[in-house]
Amino acid sequence: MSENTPIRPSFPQTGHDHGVCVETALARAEELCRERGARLTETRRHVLELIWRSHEPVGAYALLESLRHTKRRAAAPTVYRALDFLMAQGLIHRIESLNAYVGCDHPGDTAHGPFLLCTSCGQAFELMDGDLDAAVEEGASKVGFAVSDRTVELSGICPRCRLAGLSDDEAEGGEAGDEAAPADSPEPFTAPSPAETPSRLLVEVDGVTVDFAGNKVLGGVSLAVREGEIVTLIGPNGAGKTTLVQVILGLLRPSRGSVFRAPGLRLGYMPQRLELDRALPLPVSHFLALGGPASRDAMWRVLDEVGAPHLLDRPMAGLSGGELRRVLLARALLRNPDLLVLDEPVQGVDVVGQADLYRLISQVRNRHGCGVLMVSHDLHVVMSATDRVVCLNNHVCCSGHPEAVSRHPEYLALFGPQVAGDMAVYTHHHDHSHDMHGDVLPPGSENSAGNEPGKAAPHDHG
Amino acid sequence: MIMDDLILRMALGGLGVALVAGPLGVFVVWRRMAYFGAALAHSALLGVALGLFFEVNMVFAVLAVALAVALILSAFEDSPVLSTDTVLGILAHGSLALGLVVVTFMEGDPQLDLEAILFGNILAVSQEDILLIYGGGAAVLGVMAMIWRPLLSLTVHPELARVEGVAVERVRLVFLLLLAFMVALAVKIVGLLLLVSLLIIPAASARSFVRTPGGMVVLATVLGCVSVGAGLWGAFVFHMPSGPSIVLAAMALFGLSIFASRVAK
Repeated sequence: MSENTPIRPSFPQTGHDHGVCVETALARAEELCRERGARLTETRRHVLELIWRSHEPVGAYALLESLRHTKRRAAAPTVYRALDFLMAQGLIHRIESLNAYVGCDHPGDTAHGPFLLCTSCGQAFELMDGDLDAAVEEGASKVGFAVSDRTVELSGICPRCRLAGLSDDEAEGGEAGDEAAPADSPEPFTAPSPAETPSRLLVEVDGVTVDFAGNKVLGGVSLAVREGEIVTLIGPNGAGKTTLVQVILGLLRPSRGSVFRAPGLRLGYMPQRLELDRALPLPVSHFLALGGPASRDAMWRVLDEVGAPHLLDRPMAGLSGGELRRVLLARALLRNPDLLVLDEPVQGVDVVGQADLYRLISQVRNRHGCGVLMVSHDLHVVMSATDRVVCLNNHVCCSGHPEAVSRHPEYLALFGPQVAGDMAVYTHHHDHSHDMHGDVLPPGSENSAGNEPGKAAPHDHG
Repeated sequence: MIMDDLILRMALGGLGVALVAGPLGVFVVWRRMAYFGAALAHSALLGVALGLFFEVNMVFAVLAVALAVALILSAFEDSPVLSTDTVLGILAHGSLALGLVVVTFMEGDPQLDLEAILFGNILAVSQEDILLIYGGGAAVLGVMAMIWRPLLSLTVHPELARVEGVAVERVRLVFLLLLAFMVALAVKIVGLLLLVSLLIIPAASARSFVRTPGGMVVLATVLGCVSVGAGLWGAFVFHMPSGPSIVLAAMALFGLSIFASRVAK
């Protein structure tokens, strides 16, 4: 058989014999490993088989679960090592947005096309289109960008589901029951955007004023967070961001104003700092258990979700900044919160790690549908990961869509266009800050700051 | 026969105190409360003096004073103008001075042995004291087991603990009261000047060899028991006051632990 024939057709028909797909894939993998002299051990082969048997991308935790019920019960680190091996050999791919793995249709071929993720049946398909790959690469090289990883993930509806009319009838998807993800893990991509459905009010503060020794830290601040919404508090040092967070968490009683929390609200809190005494030996698992009784399984699952499964037995003292943030987030998630409150969630993390963490926070919101309130120093890095921004400087200066806030005169007055412009250097993921670069906007449009979002001056992307 | 009885009493009393000191000591280290422990211990002199004056068992009198000091301290804990450190300094030395004054007035009382109060005198441990140490100690350990998780949680991060539903103030106060109990139980054995070292040194020695909080409690308790055993043997053989003898034994173990952890690396 030829090296580049895909093992399964792009959109398999309903009646196809999946068993044959699996057999072919395993045979191909064995052949490849023999050629390369790589050792496809029993466990590795078994993990590959499980991934192939599933019709949907499988999360590492689900793999562990299904291994538990077989004789080949493997320790979690072994499974993660097996996954690493299979990825390195190009036998499986990782779907970042789902935190899950799929079998590769054409092992031995280094390129991999965009992944099409069906939000209805949950299946992933790889779109093999050489022209598309070339076009993407060409486009990137045109602007002088050196591509290192070309994974593109598109979500939508596959032809089969479209034909089936997208009804609740899941007759086709039902056959994937054997390796299905744990029942309580919600379907990804289903979090309603706050604009579409009026969602539950989680917290609301109204006219909150806080005085410290006659010093007014907060004056008449009002703010609300709803289910499924990410709200970012932004402001300079000493603006009262952390104080407002403490009021919302119930750690601080305001001098005036009211605080509403939805009845039975479960809070997950990720503090800004964690200073452990050197004399306190504390493995991550023990730290997670402090939040409440939790099984090792639950800890595994939640650490896997935040992308840090290998940390479970590591001492807290040895964690890097980014690892610590992930562990703190895991402890908050273990409580299955309705509202996540994150105080400076990327503190002590480098710029690349910051983008990763913000992406993780959006994913968590999408999976759990919880509300998120976070504090940040700078708007531009969080812009893509937030629905609403509240700019705070002892009072609410301005609030609204991130684009609108980034051009609000009070925001610019607070941070200065210079600072805002410097920050924009790191950010490739938002496209309307051009008015801060003098060279992009035509002269004289400097005052466009008060414009509505979407009405930005026309500009050239060169 | 009398000698055997004395040795048994000494060993039982010392070990009882070491068993209680282990779990409390690790928290004193983690929560950086060494100075707090010292303040409580200093207040014991006033307790001893008042106990003689009112003719009640020393353990109860010391306990009453230590509890009062713990309550006053916790009332000042969130003072907006004075740091805990300052409040501790005032209370520690204030109660010590008051104790010394009361002791001066009682000069001539045959039961008053200042040296025994300061440095410990295990020979003075009575059968009643042993019962108190074991009864009280069991109560202290029982309460410790109940507040273990919330206390550890607030030690790691008080605000996070509070958000997660821990009654931070209450748990903190309970721990202070347990420490006051510990002081009352241990003052006869090690003396008030050296009491804190029985809490801290075994915990510090245990640190390099453990990976979990529970492991540290177990090892610190074992090292505390060994220190007390070796120290009492020294006190008995060389006619030393029991307190310094126990602390020296603990120090020797600490030195060994440093050496062993270096070698292990």
